[in-house]
Amino acid sequence: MGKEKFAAVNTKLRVLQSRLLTNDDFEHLLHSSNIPAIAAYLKNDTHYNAILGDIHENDIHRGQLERLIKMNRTDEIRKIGFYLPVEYKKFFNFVHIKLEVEDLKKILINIRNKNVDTEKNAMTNTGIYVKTVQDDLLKAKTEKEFIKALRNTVYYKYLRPFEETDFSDSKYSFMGEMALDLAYFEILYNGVKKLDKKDNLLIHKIYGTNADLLNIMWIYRGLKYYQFPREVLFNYTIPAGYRLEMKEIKNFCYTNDPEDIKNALVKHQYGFLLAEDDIYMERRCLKHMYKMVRRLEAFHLMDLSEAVAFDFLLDYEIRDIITVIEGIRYGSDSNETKSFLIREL
Amino acid sequence: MELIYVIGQKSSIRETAQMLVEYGCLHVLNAVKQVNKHMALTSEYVYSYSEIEEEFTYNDAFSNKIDELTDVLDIRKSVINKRISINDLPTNLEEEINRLYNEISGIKHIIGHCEKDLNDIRDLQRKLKDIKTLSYSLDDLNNMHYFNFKIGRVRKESYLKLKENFENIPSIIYRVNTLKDYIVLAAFTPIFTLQETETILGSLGFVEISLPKNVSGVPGEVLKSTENSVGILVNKIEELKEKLERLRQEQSTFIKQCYDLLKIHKQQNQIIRNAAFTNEHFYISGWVPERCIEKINEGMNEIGNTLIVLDRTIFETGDPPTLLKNNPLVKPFEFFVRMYGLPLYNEIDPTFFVAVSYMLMFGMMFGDLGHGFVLLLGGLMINRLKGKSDFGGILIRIGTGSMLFGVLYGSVFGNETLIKPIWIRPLDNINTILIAGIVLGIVLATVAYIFNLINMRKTKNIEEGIFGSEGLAGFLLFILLLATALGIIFQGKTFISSTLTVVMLIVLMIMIVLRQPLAKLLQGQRAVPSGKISDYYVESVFGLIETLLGLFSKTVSFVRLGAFALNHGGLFLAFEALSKMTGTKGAGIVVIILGNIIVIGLEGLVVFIQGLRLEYFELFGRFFKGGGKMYEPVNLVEDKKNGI
Repeated sequence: MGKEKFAAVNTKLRVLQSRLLTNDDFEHLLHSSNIPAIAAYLKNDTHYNAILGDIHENDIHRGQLERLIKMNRTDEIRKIGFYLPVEYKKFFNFVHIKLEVEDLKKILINIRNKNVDTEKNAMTNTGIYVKTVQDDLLKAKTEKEFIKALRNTVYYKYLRPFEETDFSDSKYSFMGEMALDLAYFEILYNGVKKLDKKDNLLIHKIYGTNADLLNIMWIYRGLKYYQFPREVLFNYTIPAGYRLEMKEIKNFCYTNDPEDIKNALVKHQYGFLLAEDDIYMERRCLKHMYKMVRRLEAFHLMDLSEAVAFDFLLDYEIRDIITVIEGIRYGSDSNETKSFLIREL
Repeated sequence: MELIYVIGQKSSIRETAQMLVEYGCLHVLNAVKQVNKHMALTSEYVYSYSEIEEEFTYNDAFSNKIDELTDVLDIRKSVINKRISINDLPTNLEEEINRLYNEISGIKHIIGHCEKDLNDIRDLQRKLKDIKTLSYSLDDLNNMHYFNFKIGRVRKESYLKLKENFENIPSIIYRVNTLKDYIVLAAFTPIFTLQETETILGSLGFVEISLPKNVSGVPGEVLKSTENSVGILVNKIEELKEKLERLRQEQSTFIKQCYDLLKIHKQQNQIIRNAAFTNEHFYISGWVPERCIEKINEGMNEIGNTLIVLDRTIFETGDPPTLLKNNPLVKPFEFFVRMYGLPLYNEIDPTFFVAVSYMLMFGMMFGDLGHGFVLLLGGLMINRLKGKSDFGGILIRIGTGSMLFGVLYGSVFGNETLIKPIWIRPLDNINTILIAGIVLGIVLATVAYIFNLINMRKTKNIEEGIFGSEGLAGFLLFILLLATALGIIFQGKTFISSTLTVVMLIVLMIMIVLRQPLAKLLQGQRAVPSGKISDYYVESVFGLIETLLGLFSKTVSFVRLGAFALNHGGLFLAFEALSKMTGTKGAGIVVIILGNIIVIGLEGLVVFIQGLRLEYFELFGRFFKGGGKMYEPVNLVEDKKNGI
């Protein structure tokens, strides 16, 4: 069968890829003076015209704009799903979970910041697991209520240990987020196991790299700033990384000096991650992933990798747009905002 | 229908009510209102039910208990024994029922408990199955001094991490069981590292399997013993259910009697609640059909010390309720009459007219042997499946009418070649069929006029009856105009001389305009209309114009009878053409069948409604006033589903 099964989706992807925002688009956005200008540009000149079709640029609130842009991602993913063969459709459902998990993490953060506003926090991407309990989730005022609301979902078993925890210590919030990430990856990998070996390898590479980078950040931060017990640190690492095996991850967890990890990473080509200031770690991680995915897209392998790559690219595009919007909100200089973008302009 | 008052000693009120309910003839009115209107008693002596002492003991709580008992014991409630009386039952009725109720509730309660216990045990069994490979006694494990024992589950992925990092966990962990989605682990932890271990286990998503405190022993053996408990419980539940069954058999007669008695009391109370009371007597008031009066008299004589008073001034007190009584052949059409309104007591019951006219009209518009047959079958099936209903009956009758006209038109399932028409083929004789419709309309309109005249006569309404636009004057106007039109069409001139025609027309029209003064004149009053004179004449003249226009439109309206007959044929022609276009015989037949279904469904519906419209607007509008009250006597009607 080979590549024929992806012919349909890849054709569709051509179109979708061609519509992604270009560097020129971003230059334009960076030089916009206010939110209405950005909204207008997105609405009139980009593929966001569909989801922004009904808005009034001058009235739209920043939060609403961000929410709509994020919602676009669900729509696009769903569209791709239509063109995939059945067993891959199911896999793509798991991609949805990423979006769901992001929403859940956001709610958790909001609860922590005592920012529980059901309208503002409405979930942008309800996937397959959380639809039925959405209302309860948004009503939750404490972490305990939040976890309780997830009782009948697949996420519960990851958060159950925290149900009686006192979340006033911020490290538990961090652990909660890590637990959700773990949930995402474990569910994803369980789904991946059922795919074709070759597809399996490809996904393994992309998500595995992501897992590697997340693990490194988790362990490094966990050791340096939160002093988590090492066993716990290890237990929350994401399995099936691409370059880092479990043994090595374990060694990182038990290292005496977090800075030692830096040296060990060089041979894995992950040295860049811990090279400079810690606060930019996340950005470096995203940039690395972005480059990797761009390369994949450029190869046009005509298989599942294109769909997976597109998902990532769309994610990063949205993040970048939001960065620009936030930049305007905080009155940043356009060059400064530019440096926060994932892409290189 | 007579308005009666039943009067008697207060002590015999229940007996009287029982008798009246049994005979089932009385349409109850509120006696207090009636008495105030007619009798020579002043209101200070008259009490209503709510103002007298409550002598009647049956109350809601009691009624609820009995309802519950009948439900729990599954007693058949539908057939009520009318002859039951309080004397048939033990004197400590309420006590008995309470005792039974408590006993049965008790049993139900215990069954509930047992079932819950059974569920709990089954839960426990599930948990024990998970750990049945553990060969130590739970007591021993749970009561160690220096070690803590835990048993629980982890995800498979977590187990891999556990294995990888085993040497760093300050606890001894065994794999007890491997299941589909998770692994069951037992952890032996020194007390001093318990907290650390719990944190680590928590981060692995370890969920403890919680067993009830009183479970002790080796899991496998405990599991076996639960089998025992399960057995005991199941038996107990069986026993109790049998006990309930026995009670049911013993007591169902008694309970049913109580149930019946309550229902009867309920009906009696309908009468009693509307009665009026003085210190010594009660007054019941209501409508009964004439034929029941003698029966009631006899019944009263048996009770003794009672009296019936007939009030014949009914037309002053208000209208009697109406009961429609018709021959079973036309009874289903009461449905149409009731939809429009109930005739007043002294109006003609139009059901027979509706039956005949509707069947004719429907048949004419929907004439087809096959289609009619389908409707007939439909009606029969509805009657069989849902029990006798008006709608089923209507379908049967109009189906028959259709079949008749089908034979007249020579049409069978749309095919016009199978049989020869006894009358005409609508599509070949378009003008004839259209005119036939109008002719039928004229005939029916005439009957409607006659009905109105009869109704007006009954109510002695001179204004409307003689001079009204639906009365004699209007009728004559109608006939005159009709005759004139016919004359002009067939002969080129009027039947009677044109001057005479015009004069008569003018006279009739003036009569209609002047109807109120003329009526008053005939009754020996001043020939002046009541109310503002100018208002009256303006209204009257416009009314006349409306009447003239109406005469025309109402007559022409009947052309639709012919039009739908044509429609019927025409629609089918279209399907025939379509079927030929399909090329193959098979597809052609499919199209024909489809066509028939669509025609029966769609056209049937449309014709049904059109016929009804003609019935209501063009016919009923001419004579039917409606506004009658339905006759609803208090009785013990056996309802197939719920008792009363």
